[in-house]
Amino acid sequence: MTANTQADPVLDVRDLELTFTAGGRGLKLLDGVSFQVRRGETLGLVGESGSGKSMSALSIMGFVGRNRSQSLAGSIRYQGTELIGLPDKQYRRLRGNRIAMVFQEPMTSLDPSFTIGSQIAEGIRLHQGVSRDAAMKRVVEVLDLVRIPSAAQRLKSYPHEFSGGMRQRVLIAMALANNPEFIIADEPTTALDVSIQAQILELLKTLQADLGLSLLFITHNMGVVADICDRVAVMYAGQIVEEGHVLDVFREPRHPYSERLLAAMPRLDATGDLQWIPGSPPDVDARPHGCRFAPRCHLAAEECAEPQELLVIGRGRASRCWRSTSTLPEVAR
Amino acid sequence: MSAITKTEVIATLAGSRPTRGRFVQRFRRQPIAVGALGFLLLVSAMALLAPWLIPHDPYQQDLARVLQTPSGEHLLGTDELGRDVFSRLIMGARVSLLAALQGTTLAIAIGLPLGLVAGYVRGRVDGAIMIVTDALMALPALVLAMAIVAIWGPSLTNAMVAIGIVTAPRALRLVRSSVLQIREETFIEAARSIGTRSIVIVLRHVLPNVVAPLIVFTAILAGTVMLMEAGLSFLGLGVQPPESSWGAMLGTSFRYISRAPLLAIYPGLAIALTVLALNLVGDGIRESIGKKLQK
Amino acid sequence: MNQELLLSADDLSVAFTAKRAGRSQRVHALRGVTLQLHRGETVGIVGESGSGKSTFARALMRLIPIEGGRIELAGEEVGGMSTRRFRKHRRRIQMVFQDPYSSLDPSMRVGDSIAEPLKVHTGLSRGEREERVADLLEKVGLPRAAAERHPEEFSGGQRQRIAIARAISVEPDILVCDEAVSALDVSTQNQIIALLEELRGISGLSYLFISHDLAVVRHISDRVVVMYLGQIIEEGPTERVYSSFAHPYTQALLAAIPIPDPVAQRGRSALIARGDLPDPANPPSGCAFRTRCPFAMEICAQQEPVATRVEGGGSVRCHLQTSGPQLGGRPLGALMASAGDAASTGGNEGVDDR
Repeated sequence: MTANTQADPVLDVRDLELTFTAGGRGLKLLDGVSFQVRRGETLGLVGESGSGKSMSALSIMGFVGRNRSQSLAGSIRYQGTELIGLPDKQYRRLRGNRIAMVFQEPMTSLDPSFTIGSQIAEGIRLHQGVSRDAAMKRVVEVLDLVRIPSAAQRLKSYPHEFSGGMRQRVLIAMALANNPEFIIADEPTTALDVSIQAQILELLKTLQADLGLSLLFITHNMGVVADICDRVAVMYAGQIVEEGHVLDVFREPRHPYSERLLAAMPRLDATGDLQWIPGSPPDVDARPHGCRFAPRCHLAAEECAEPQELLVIGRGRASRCWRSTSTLPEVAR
Repeated sequence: MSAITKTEVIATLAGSRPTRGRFVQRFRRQPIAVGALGFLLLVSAMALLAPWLIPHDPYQQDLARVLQTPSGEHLLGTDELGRDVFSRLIMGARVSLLAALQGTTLAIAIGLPLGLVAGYVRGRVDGAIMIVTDALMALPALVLAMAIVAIWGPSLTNAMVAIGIVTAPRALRLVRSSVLQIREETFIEAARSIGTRSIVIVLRHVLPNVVAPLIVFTAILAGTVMLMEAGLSFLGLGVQPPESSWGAMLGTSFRYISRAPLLAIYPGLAIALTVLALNLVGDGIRESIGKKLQK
Repeated sequence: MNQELLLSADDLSVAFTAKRAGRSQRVHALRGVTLQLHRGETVGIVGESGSGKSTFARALMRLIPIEGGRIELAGEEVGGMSTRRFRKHRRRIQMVFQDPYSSLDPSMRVGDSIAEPLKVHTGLSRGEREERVADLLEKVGLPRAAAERHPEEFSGGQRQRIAIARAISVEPDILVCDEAVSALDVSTQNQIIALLEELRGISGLSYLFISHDLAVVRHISDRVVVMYLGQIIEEGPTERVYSSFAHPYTQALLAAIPIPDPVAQRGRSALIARGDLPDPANPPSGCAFRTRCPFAMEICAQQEPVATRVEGGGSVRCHLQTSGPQLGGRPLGALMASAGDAASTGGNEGVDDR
């Protein structure tokens, strides 16, 4: 186990591959996922459904890729510790403790038969081994942190007594209970009303700043990325196709897919024709040999028939397109 | 850019097969179900062609040759009255299968329409139907059938009608619960918004989507009905001599079980295998249907 | 609008009884909604959970019973009509639903689904219906051969095209799109919206476009209606509502939608609403939005605000127009700068400022 310095990334994913084997055939769901999350920063992992972003999160947490029909290749280093192949016992000490996860559906992530107090306390006692009273004290602390009013009374409430937005705050509280260093949030606001989403995003930003958390934020909404993320990694068909600082990627995307995705997002402040990308992402078992986006790409050329590497084109900037070494050509519409 | 671009859609459709073909394709991929279906077809063929298949007259008694072991002359031996067991077994298939068909059809004929009505209309009509249904289900089916036959008098027809009535509640509940789920689907709301009449909605939209789970249920119900018929005939309340079903054969053979144990095994095995085959085919159909209503 | 009035809802109310934790509660899902739709218009209806926008759509389609108010379709009062008499009016107003995976009957061929309205409302023969279906499929960008297939063979976007073909088959005057693109990914969503715009241009359809996505609504609508807890709290021409909003909730809604541009997004100064959406079974007294409103005054708890006209078109229900600062038809923007100061110094705990 190598020592992890302040400068090293908290999470370093390199060439991650996830293969599902069924009936003798292997399906490579993830195939070349590389990104880093630095200390105190928020990395957005963005892509459409089927791009593999949730699978990446589940792989990091050790929920997939660790049984007979699923396997992981590559490297996931958390604070210098390699997670692929890590024994279950050690993984359990990390999960819910140093690495916490916030899921999408607050309705189904909480057990309806137990009070929220007991559910949060369960995780605290598991990892910190403290008494029930001490655990409950921490529960109140953490419910206050997520701005749930009358926290001490609400310990005894059941999940169904909370609204959707409140339940999501409870989930965040649960994630914070053991003072994690790293949080993975998988579409935490997608199921919420817009006005509630805005509140939750504000809360996450405040918590991150106050507690010095590192955050991996998974979403399909570019607006959310623009709001909360410092850096962004764009996924397509199981691969990372672009990574960089949020200001850079939005101002000057260096992969045609990122550029098209940004152009397609309907914006409150813009008028003009709606854009879309023709066709649809390839099925897992029907991916082209060369660039996976080429069949839909308006800038496709001969070079795209070759598999594309993730090229480093600047400090903390990468793109999986051979054109990325310079600005992408303008598209005539 | 026009939103009306056709090319990629044609490409996706060209490669796929129509839905009906896929059901058969999926069914064929299950060796056990296919084997079971083959067995059922064999037994059905046997029953249909019985008059031409039997080597001996199944009613012909020969008191000089009772309880004989299998021989060249009598493939499965003779029974207590000297009748050829093999021939009786084949004829028995006719009776047993026909009876199962009768009972099952009656159960569905009662359960399907009432289940549709109860599930779609709901309210007091549903309440009334369910009170009767629950009351019937509270009583043990076979005992109830026996009671009905005892009142009407023993005969195969009476037995099958009784069994049909007694198993109808199960079919009704299955149909009803299916309808309850289907009526919440958006396409039902869409049909209403189009202006389709309720009766048409039930027949065109609800019924075809109920059929899938119903067919699976029917295969298994047929097995249950067959067992019930066997039970009633075993007790002498079903088929009456000189007609015989497998259940009746099983019943009479018990008296001679020490002398000729094989006599009980043939009809017993026939019943067991047929019911098993029905269940396996039901399973196979369920697997092949695919997830149409679920995402 | 000088165009023909197609649809008019007047003081419409819908209520139903909900069973919650053993008790029965009367929920007023729609309260006093008044709306007009003219030929060729697209009216966008926006709101969040509990706003009543879907309830409104279903009430107009007579899929749910109405408690009070009137609905007029092409001049005829239809709100209280019997189901049988209303049937023939249904061909004037058709709906496209949110979920493309359950709005088509999986057991029916696509062609039969599309032809269903034709069967109900026209006397066309089978051959004539098939011809129409083929034309409709082409109109929505699908091949004629699609008619023989079942819905399961199509993607979400394609299924919505089929649903649209079905809805326009009887040439209705009005198409109600109830979150018709919300379940689709962005690229597909934009294609379907473009399709709807093209169809509108060809056949002069009027749309009621219900959505929670304000960016999309801005793009497609001539007028916008903002709903909160069963009421219309602001309405007017799209540009006026978006750039010169008058209601604090409209402001909060616009503020909450993140712009996919980090510089623009992080540079915004806007007030997002605090607190939760109230329980429709237990709405706050007076103005329903007052529990989350950064500008709430005493009168807001005492009286329900009435609709007052706004400069630039439309109306708003807010006491700020007639009491307190007495905006008198001016947009909320006039108050915004000073509101920011009040929020950081005053007692408006929980107001989040960007």
